[in-house]
Amino acid sequence: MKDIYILAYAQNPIVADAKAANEVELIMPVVHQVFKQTGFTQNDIGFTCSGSCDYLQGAAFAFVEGLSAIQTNPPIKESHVEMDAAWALYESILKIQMGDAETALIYGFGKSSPGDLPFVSTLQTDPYYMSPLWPDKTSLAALQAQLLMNKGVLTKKDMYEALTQSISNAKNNSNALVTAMPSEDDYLSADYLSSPLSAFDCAPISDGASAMIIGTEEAATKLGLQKIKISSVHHSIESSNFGARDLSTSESIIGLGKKINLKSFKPDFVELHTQFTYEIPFIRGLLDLGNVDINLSGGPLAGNVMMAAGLDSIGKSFELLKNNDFHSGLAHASSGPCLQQNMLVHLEKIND
Amino acid sequence: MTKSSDKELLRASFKLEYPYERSPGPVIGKFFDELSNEVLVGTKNSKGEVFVPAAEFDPKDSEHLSEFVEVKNEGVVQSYTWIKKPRAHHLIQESFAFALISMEGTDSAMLHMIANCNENELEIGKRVKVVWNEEKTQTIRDIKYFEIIDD
Repeated sequence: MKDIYILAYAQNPIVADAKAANEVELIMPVVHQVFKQTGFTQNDIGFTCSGSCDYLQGAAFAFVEGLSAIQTNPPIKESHVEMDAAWALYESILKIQMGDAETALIYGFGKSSPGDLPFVSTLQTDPYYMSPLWPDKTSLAALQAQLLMNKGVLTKKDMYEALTQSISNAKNNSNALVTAMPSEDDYLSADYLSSPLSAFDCAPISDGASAMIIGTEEAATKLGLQKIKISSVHHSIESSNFGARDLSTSESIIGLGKKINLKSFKPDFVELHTQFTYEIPFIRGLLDLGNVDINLSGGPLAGNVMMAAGLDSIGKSFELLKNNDFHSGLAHASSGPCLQQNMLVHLEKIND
Repeated sequence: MTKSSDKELLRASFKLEYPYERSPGPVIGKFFDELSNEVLVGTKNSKGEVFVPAAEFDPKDSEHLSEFVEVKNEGVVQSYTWIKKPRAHHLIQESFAFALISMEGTDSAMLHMIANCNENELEIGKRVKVVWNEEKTQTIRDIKYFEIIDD
């Protein structure tokens, strides 16, 4: 296996409503930033892969328009995943491992503001047994939160602590959308959208884009920047049969903790792609993370660009390692209702 | 770079839907056929576990499932979420719950709705029964919702 390094990462300021700015206008600034960080042009990129969701734009193959943000003439090797851009990163890692490329540009983008995101997400559920009933994203998460509270796995207080910690950490991220701290009274007295979740428990509707460049050891050495290595990456998915899953635990997350051998290293921090407050104490318990800092960037509760937020947890881990006296970080990305699909990435700072 | 100005923002109405039809196939199709007869069926794996709604394959080991069994129209709430103020698209526009319901004698749960009750009557473990939609469409909506079984 080749060693693969993150060479650059950039995130647009997350906004609640990008208004007239289209997807191309969201993507271009971050692509330019990662080129600036590396000195690369599109000609230095061996493979380009994006992550987005056509349902957000409301048209099939809408992602193709995003390609207008980069130079595609002369023709480039390019791909797209109808998933969070963390999986575009995964595909890029495979391309480099196969020897098809030395470097890869990854970008993810989402403009959720024009639609009703919790119901747009409904269209991604089972089209026979689920989506005709219009279960919104918040209600599906609430089914899991209710079950976990009923089993004594977590409490509303745990959820409030996860929220305040996230908002407090958001000051570390100048791109964060939410910085207003709710009082415990406001939190506990808020009406439930879908019990036991109120609007405070849900990541904000966000517009934005992020980009990343990765490369082989040779490419990283040539740049002469601080080396941040992708030491290990694994992903797994649970059944699409929603009612057959055990929502009181997560086979996927526990299995990934074993695959990535979480017992063999102690991360200095963890960045979780958690779109609801309850998911933070839940995953902390599942992975036995102890009291390690979670979401020092604020995480998705402070700004959650659909289809980029998973890549952001990896990108923010890269930045945390680069800019602090940290040596090892764990990043998580997720997709599907109730943490159906998950990815864990172990990043390490390598000192030559 | 010149960005699009907000004055140029174009708006168009949009219907959130799948703009195409799907064929349900032999397993899901049979489940829907039986629903329209007000009968609930599930599929059974070789270990004797029953899945309702009918699953085409075993979610654990991918065993192909084709044996159908009829089950009762009653089940137990595995989890629920109460929606005090229904939002756009919700099919019931009075307070209701989404719930995961294990039909009696089955080993999986079905996502559906519970109505005609108050929030404080609902709890995990509560027994509920099917209320059929009068108009049948051979879809999951042939079940209108579930309601609590009075003890």
